[in-house]
Amino acid sequence: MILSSEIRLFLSVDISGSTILKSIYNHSTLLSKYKSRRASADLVKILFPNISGEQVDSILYKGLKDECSDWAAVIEEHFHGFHQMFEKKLKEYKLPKGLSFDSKNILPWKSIGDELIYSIKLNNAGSLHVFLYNFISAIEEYNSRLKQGNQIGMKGTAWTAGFPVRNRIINIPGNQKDYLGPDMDIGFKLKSCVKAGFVVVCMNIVDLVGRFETTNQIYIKHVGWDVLKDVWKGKPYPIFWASHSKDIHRNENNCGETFISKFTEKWLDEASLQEAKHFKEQIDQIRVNLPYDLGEVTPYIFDEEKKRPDDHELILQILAKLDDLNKTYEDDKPSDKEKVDKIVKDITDKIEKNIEIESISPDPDNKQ
Amino acid sequence: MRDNARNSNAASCSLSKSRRVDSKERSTLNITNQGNALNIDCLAVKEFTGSINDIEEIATRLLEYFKSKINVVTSQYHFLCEIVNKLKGSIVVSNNPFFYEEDGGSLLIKKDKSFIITLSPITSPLRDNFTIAHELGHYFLHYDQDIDIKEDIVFARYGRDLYERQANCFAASFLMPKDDFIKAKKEYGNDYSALATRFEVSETTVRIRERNINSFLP
Repeated sequence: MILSSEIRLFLSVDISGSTILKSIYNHSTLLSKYKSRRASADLVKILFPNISGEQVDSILYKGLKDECSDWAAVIEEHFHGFHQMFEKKLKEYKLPKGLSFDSKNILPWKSIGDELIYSIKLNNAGSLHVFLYNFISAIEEYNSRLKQGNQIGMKGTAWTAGFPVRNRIINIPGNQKDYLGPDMDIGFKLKSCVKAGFVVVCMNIVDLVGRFETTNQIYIKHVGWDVLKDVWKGKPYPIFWASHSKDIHRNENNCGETFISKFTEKWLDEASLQEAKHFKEQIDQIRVNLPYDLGEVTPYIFDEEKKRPDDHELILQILAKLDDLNKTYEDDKPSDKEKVDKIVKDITDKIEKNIEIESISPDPDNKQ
Repeated sequence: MRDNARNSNAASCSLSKSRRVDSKERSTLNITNQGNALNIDCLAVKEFTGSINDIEEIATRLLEYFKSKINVVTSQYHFLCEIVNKLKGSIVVSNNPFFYEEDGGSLLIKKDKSFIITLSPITSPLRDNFTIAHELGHYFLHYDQDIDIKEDIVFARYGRDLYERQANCFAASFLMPKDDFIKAKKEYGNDYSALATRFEVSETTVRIRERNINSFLP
């Protein structure tokens, strides 16, 4: 048996500014507001006895509702709002020939804290382009629609991970699956390298996207390097920001974050964005200089290319062989009842003998 | 944390020999890498000649026997430790996660017929349960106690597929008896987490057991 391999695209949208939000709009602040309004309402009742208590309370709660938003509800609204926009973008996008999917089936894989993550199996470079292009487009449009001074913003991270050679799919309690591995670690750590309104992509995505010819280009800017903790044995990782437009756009909304990093400065410098294929040579050079045991290879989509690197082919054969060991042997033999009885008798006899020896041996702890 | 839990389990079952050993100490215990694949050809080590159902039967009968001899059991691990104890064997935890490469295997049968099962320092308690049962499978199915041995026997995990499959079959049958498993499947359905908890094995082991049982069912 040959195990199959797959490459998945992970798209993460993270809500910036949500930490501050939680400290401003929570149930403790709700209680403080209530107490303040309650005192005023009680005073109104005394001063204006003609107004019913019910009417006063109604005004109190209405005011409370207008004044206080719960942070959980705000996050929920943004998650739903973003998902709707992403789904709409995908639905309206003119798919290239040979590619079809129902945008309604593109659902988040899971949320972790303030982050919503999509996980999509890739069959070809075309599908990668479609999902990434519309994800970037959704992030940029969602942020542009947020009113000036909004404390919330959306930032995006996109990465790919190949299974099961470099990364693994594991079962977790509750019949759920989880994706783990070095490429997943890279993805989760990349999100600290981008600010609201922008999308950071892993190196392999730039490589893969650069191979796909389309009129709706994804444009890339190499905004610098960063050491991602425990990634690439401490070697700096290239940071690429992506956009669906060649023009540099700005997002002055920092969402309460003090994110004025080297990446933002580089993004805003005069050099324009470039098509992903422009970075091919640079990426190849980066990969060549990495230690072999990191296992970084040129990314591939087996379903489309129908070939894998030789090492990956061999690893899959070894894994299949190991998996075979779990199977009970199929060339079943005839029963050997005599052998069964002998084994059971030998073992039980041995134990009975040991018990007998123990019962007649003096207790070693009882030395007198 | 995991090791602590394992050590406390070991302590609770009074398995005084359960402890950590490093490679150096294993050498002094005369555990060597010499001919780990070759000594499987020694006269005392033989392929089990029966069928899968025979292995299921051995596992079932021995399980019933051990249950009758071991009254108080706090966990599957405790139960397995007690079995090893009664057979005059011991369980040790290696300091080296790659001790298979260095020492050739996790079951050593000594010249005096006592035996040592070595566990990895990085595996989970659930995996350890399976490993102990697997090594007991080798001990029961492949080792002929009637034959005196001149050198220690190291059962190499990379010895022969058949030996490993037979030992796996024993471990699965011993930890998840077929009738109990079918009954539990009816109760828990595809809740593999619940099934794994019920039998104190990993979910992966449950899935493999299910696959193998299904292949035998008419």
